[in-house]
Amino acid sequence: MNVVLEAKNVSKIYSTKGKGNEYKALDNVSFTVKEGEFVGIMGPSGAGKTTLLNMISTIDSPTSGEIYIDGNNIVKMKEDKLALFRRNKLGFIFQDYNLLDSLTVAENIALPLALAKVNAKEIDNRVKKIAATFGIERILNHYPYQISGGQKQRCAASRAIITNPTLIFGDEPTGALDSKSATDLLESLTQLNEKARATILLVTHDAFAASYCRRVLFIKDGRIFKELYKEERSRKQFFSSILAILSDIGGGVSDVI
Amino acid sequence: MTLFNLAIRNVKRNFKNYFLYFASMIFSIVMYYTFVSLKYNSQIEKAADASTKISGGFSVSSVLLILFVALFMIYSNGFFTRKRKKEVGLYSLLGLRKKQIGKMLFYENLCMGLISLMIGILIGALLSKAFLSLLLVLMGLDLHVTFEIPVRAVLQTFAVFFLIILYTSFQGYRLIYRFKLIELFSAEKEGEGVPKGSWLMAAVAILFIATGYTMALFFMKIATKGLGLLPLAFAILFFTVTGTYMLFHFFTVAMLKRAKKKKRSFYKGMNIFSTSQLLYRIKGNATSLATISVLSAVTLCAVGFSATVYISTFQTADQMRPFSYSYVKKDKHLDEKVNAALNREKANHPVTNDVALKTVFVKGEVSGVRYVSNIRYMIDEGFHLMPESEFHSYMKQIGKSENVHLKPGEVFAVDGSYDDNLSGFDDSYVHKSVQLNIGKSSMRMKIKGAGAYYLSDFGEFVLVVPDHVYDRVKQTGKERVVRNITVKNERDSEALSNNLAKAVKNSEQYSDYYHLFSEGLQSSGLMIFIGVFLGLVFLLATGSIIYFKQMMEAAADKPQYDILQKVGVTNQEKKRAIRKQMAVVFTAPLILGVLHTLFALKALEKMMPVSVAIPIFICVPVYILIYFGYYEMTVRSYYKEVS
Repeated sequence: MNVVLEAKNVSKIYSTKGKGNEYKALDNVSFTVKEGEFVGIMGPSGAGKTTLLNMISTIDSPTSGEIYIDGNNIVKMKEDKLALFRRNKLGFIFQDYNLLDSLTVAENIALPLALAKVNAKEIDNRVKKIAATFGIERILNHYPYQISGGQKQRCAASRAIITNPTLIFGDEPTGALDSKSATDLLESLTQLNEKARATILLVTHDAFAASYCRRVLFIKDGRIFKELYKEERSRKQFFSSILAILSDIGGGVSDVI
Repeated sequence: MTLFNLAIRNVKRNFKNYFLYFASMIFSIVMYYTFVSLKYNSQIEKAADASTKISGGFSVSSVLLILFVALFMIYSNGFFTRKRKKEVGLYSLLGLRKKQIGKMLFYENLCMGLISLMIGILIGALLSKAFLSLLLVLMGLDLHVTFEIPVRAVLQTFAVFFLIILYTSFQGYRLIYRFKLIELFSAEKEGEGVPKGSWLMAAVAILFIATGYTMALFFMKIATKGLGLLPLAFAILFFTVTGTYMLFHFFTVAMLKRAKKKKRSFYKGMNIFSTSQLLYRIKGNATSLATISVLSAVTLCAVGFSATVYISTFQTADQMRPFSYSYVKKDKHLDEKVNAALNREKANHPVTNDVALKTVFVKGEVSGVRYVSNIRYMIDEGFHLMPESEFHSYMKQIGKSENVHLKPGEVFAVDGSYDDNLSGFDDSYVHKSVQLNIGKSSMRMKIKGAGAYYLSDFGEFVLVVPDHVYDRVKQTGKERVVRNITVKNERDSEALSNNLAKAVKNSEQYSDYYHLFSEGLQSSGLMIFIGVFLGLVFLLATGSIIYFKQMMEAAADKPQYDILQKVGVTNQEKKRAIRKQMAVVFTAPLILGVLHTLFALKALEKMMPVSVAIPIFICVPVYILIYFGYYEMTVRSYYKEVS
């Protein structure tokens, strides 16, 4: 299978200006994600999850190391080219939804396609199709302030995948959802992964969300601490294995549940 | 640390945030001070003959300026406090008592206000000399001015702005009492919602504006048919202003909604965002945009009108006083006195033309017209007559010609103010018969036509009659000879004109070019100065209001642009989208404002003897240029704010 994402010795060092007060947020992290994988990245607060996600999702750049997405070295790209790259190859689902207030649900979902100048009819069809998968057809003409958090997140997910991106990133996508909405969203993502063979990378500190993945990377103090495959385990079994590792890391159960 | 200290530290630390507010306060103060310092300037008062007119003109417009400046300062204060709601909320959350916070904000604003008052008066004092020189040039006064700070101007500026600052400070004090804590925190999230557009209301708006415009086009016709000038002017104002507000509230919304429905262009790149964004913001913007459009129209009209009056001063003086001097010849002694005066100024003002106009005054009336009353003369008891042959040779002498061939029984009217384009002009005498009382008999003749010439500086109504009629008339009445003299450089012939006026003081009739011209220039120069000054202030203030408003939105929209960045919108696309949005926000009120101006000045043109075309061609482009500068600045700051 093709390698979609490859991180090679990625480090990120934050330093206060002038003084040698350095903080290593990421320390020589290397890993690969293959096409069709559903990968979770876990770790306690401050472990470097979000830093890592920002690096591999082109929002921030590493101090050293290389990152390849679909064979393109994104570390060397200029900002405007990166923007186009994000638009064409990546999809994002954020904890706080990141929907545009001034656009309706349908328009929010259509935005990436409109930016890519896909013709209007095709946009309409694709929006309708995706809205059906996420069960949000009835709120397409609502504005974000008129709908619930779960609906917002499904709208954001629809927007993330409408361009058929090479890679979908989720940054704590269930963080602001109640358990029912969270389960709905995770089920949809799983379906997307299994049926449409979408490659998904999820950053979370929620073991429940992570248990939907097929592989989980654990990060601690800026390094990859452990890697866990779901293999033939049921989701519940995988969930307990994840919990076990988390208590090993010492993030504390209180931080997990 | 006392609250006063905290307030001072606040200002010091956040100076960058405070800068805009400071700048607009100082700007208002500088403009106001400059204006009143001209009003109270002792030198200008001495120099101008019409000193009462000067302070009168300044007084009326300074009231206008106060109103505007106060509104502007309250607006920028509102912009400023809105930006700080969160900070105030934080203080409250940290446990400061409401009274303490209120006091702090009060002191802070008072402190800033007093500082800008001092800076403003200082800058104003430095600028006022430049403005004074400009004013004198425009008024045609040749005067060497010195630097001066009128005490009354300082006191008045201080008093006016102290009150305004006190008011805004009090608003600051009340801020914490006016809002709940939660409202202070979500200051920028106040949901604007999507407004409802209505094609019906949009149509009504257009109808209103069209009505106003039509009334303006046929201004004189409607005014003379019973409605009266003032009520009509108010009706036009009502229809256009109401129409403007309605247009922005309903028409723009309807248009944007239509744009959203046109999927093909709507789903094209950033259009989807800019159109929605405009629609989302229009509710909060409609009123300000309409206000800006009305203000633009007022500004352009004021400047256009005063410029027209200014230009017309030159034209009407040239037209109404075709000669430098006209006086009625009496005896040799008077002519000698005049010649002596002319000789003395031979070097600067050599005589270029010297013609005599001979007429005889005859009693009579135009049948059916009791009297003809036009702008510059009245015919109520009689006319000056001149023979046809003499008329032709006279016209040749003054470098003009008119093809007049009188048949027996016909006369030709020479009427300087004759202008059939000018509404309000009474041409009822043309083609009527006229009765002339010659000696004991009387004769009837027909007025064949009229020509617009001034034969002397007196601007009299003259009838050209067949030679044989004149010969008869001459036997009964006394011929009057008017001497018309033209000199070089008549526009600055002050000394010569004064001397001649003195020389012919006891003669029955005397008129000259210079005095009419200089008086006209003094009042119209003052007028254009005030017009341009106020226009400039209005323009800068309206530009700043749009700028403030957009920057306020930029701050609120920053998260939206962050999202766009994440979704993969390039900086260039962002810039272009901002440019497009701002273009709509800026041009819509501008276009409407300019249209209003064109129609308003068109109405005005009917009452003035000169064309408004030249002022329009100068004012409008200049206005657009400055306005465009604001557009560029706003686009740039907006982009900087959101990226």
